[in-house]
Amino acid sequence: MTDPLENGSSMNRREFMIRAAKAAATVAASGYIVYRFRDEEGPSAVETRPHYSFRSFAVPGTESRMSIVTGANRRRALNAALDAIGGMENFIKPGDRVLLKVNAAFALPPILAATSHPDLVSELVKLCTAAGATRVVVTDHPINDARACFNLTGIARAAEEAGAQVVIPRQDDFLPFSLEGGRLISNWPVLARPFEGITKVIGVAPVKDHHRSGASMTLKNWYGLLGGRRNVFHQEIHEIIRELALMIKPTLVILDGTESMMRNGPTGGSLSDLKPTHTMIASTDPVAADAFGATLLGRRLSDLPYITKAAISGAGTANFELLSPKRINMNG
Amino acid sequence: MSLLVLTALLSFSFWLYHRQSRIPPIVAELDGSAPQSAPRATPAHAAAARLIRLAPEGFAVMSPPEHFDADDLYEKINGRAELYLPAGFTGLDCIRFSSRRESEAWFEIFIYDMAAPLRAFSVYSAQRREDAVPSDITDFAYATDNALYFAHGRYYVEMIGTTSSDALRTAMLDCAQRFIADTTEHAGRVEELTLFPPEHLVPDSVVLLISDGFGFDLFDYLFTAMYELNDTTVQAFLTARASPGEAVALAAAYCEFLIDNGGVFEDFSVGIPGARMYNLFGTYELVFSSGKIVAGVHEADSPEAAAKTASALHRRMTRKRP
Repeated sequence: MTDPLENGSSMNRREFMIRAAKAAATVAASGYIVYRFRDEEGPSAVETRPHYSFRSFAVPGTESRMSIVTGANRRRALNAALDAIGGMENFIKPGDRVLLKVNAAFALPPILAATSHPDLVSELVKLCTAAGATRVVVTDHPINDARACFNLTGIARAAEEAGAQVVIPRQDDFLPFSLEGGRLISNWPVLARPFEGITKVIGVAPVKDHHRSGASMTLKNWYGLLGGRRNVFHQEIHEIIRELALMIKPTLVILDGTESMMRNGPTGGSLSDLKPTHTMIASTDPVAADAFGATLLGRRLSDLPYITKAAISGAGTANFELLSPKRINMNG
Repeated sequence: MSLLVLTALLSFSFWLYHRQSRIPPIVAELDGSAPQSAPRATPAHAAAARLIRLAPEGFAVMSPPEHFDADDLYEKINGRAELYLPAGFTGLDCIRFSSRRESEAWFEIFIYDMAAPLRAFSVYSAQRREDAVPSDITDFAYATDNALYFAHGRYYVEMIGTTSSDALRTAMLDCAQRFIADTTEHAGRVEELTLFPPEHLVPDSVVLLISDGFGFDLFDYLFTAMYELNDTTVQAFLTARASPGEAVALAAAYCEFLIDNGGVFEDFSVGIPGARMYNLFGTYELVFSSGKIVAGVHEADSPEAAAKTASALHRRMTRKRP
């Protein structure tokens, strides 16, 4: 091998040193650029967004109210249930802006009772408006094809015809939220934007069997406020429902047990999965509402651990009889 | 030389930038990189065309075909995905058809590919509606007022309708026949079903548990069946192993499992070689092996009911053994 510096090539030692210095400068400059690109913590879309916090939507002085109405007609049963706990005017005041959190999780027809019934949604919107609400928003976050879910369940049409605004979630409707003391809901995206300016929240859910949690009623209904790949919570379903019970303090909840899905939930699919239990529950305590709903499904509290967990955490009472629920039989 | 170094470093910089620009899946939905609630990606062209061909007479495609795999099945059926995933689910194809005459009358077909006939039978049997009407569309099929359910080869199929009209039921049957004609699958015969004695058997009560039968992790492919004896109901079970030796070992392991969970040996004459009975907090468990089969009775109300059911099961298994 020959040395270019000694074999008469055009580069002399001085030139070589200059070029080497330039190369070293290039390496240093490039290294600096790479260093500037480096991100120690990795990507995070949530860190640039403000954290959301839910306020309590409960009306002071209306705690621990509950009514249980027996009747097959949803609209009539709802009115009776609300009247029994003081009437909608006790909860919705003139100027209120109301959010109805429905269950629109599946693109299935209302006859299958897998989602909030459009008659109930329609009647609730009318009652809120009659009580003076200036705006009623109806929303949920079905993961797959939300538009089809709202349309095929009949919820969109019922809500709009009654004068409500249907909000189908978009990307920027979600904001990160951390539940104080929460283990699962920590820096997790939640459906937040539709809550902007909202003063009252009503949850409305059907009584259903659920393959994972044992039942899906008013507490499980808040699951629809979670964004992201929320199926990761299925392995800890009772814990996530407990945290959801602490996350939202609604004005009241409506539990529709007119037709209860006794098996093959939460989707059901067959009319034979349903049982005409003809019951409507209105309550300011979602835990108590679910505890009663469990009886419609023939379940004990031990079958639905999330109810007891929520009660122990202070989200409500599992012994619904302590609320002395008003019972009305519209069949008699 | 310096140009080479510069090029290499710039390439590295771009690679690093690209890597750090990628957003993890959980955050992706929040960040707007993925659609929040758009319809799923359609299946491959051929699969989509096959779904569209299933449209029955007088019905039109109402919504585009959809396809889901194990990662996103929950998006379609939420918590119910947990029933299909452990049973070997590989894919779900869906499409809706609506009546040309009556727009409110529509149905959706759900085609679950479970990869193997026994796995399809498992999810079929686990969800069978008690008050359904048997259908002869396949060996494993039934209809309810608004729906049709069947297993065919490796597929488990559901058709869910919006009404209980005759026209819709006829359309679903038409669609089912098109599906069966369009697949190369053959109706799978489940040999274990013939081992359950037919006397006192509750119709359509046989269920196949793919894994963790009765909470025992070694009980996979466990068949259970309900029997009505006078005023009590008894559950019989059986599972096949590769060899008689494995069956003996599994029966012994199940006995250990029962003892570990509070079972107390019950000295009761059953008349089946090697059979053992345990009292488990007031209910009776009985287990034995015969050839390659482990069988027994689960949660019987009395030792007599357990023994009677097990004896009938043993006799049937002995007769059926080749």
